[in-house]
Amino acid sequence: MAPQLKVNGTVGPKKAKAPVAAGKYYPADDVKTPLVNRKAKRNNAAKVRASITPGTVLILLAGRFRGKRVVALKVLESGLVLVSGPYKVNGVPLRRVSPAYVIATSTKVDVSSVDVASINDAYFARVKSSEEEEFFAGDAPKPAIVSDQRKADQKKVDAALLKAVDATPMLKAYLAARFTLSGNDKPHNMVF
Amino acid sequence: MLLRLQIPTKQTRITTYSILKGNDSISSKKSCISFPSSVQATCVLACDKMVFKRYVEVGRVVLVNYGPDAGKLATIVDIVDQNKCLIEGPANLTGVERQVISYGRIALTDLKVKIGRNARQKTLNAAWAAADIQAKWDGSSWAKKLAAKSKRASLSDFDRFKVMVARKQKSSIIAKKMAELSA
Repeated sequence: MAPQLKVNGTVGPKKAKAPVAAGKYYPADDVKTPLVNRKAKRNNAAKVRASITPGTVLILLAGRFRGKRVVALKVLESGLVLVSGPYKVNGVPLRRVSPAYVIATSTKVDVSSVDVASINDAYFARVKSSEEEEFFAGDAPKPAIVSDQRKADQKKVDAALLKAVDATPMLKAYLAARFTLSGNDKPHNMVF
Repeated sequence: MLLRLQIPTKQTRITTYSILKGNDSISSKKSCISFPSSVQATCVLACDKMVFKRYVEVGRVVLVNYGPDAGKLATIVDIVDQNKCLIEGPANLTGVERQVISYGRIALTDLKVKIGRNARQKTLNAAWAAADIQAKWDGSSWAKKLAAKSKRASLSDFDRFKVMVARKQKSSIIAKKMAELSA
């Protein structure tokens, strides 16, 4: 009896696939089916650099809070960094910032006691007002309303954060002060 | 700002004058300082008698200010020509190996050791120990300024903030005292 050879791959005629159950008629119009977008589900957020960790003091470089020194609380799924001033110290609320527009300093605040588990990207999602409502509102400036939920969260986070900030002398004054460069400062040569 | 001026007097002794100024803006630097006429006179006199005090010579301790050895001390061991000399740290103390170096890349210090021309490392080491060069250098204001400069460069943002606050406190104390004295 000849030894049986193990065949890799197919030899000979390929097996015909089971015919797809086709309808009786072809549809008269070509119905376009959207292609499956495999990229959409992927999280393409860039990795945040190692110098930015929970507790790192950051210097904001862009936006209306530019120049402010804030405390990083965590890195969100979107790749943005959750920060807090704390609000009471320098007026920066719980906020997401792009890590590309911050300087990470070597100063760290112990934020192990600060609970921000409930705050994620969805937390900052904007509530869409209906189009009709917006149309009739016209160009009248809308007052910025901070929800009670946000206020409560800010209070809760800052209470723990302030305690950690107060533990280090002068840190509170440091966070309250704005970062500036003066004549002879060379930011590329400076250590932060 | 406390401005310290060092003016060599007739006896070539260094006299320190402290002059206190209200602001330290660059534009007002020259106009604010005015010397008593006697100081100006001695200054002119001193200029006549001023002579070089540091020479390129065997045994002269130098500071390398260019290249991979920048910031390290070395000793002139031999003179090659008008443009360059042979130096060595000693290598086991300062890390500067025996090498020919251009005068442009070294700065002469006040320190000197007693060695013969082309002295070997062992002799150089003994001479350094005998003259207590490292301690003398560390005590000099030149070395202190260099140390302060590198210290300042290594400060973090928070440290710079603390320095700024300390400086403000210092100047407020001085201003208060000055107001008290002049009143």
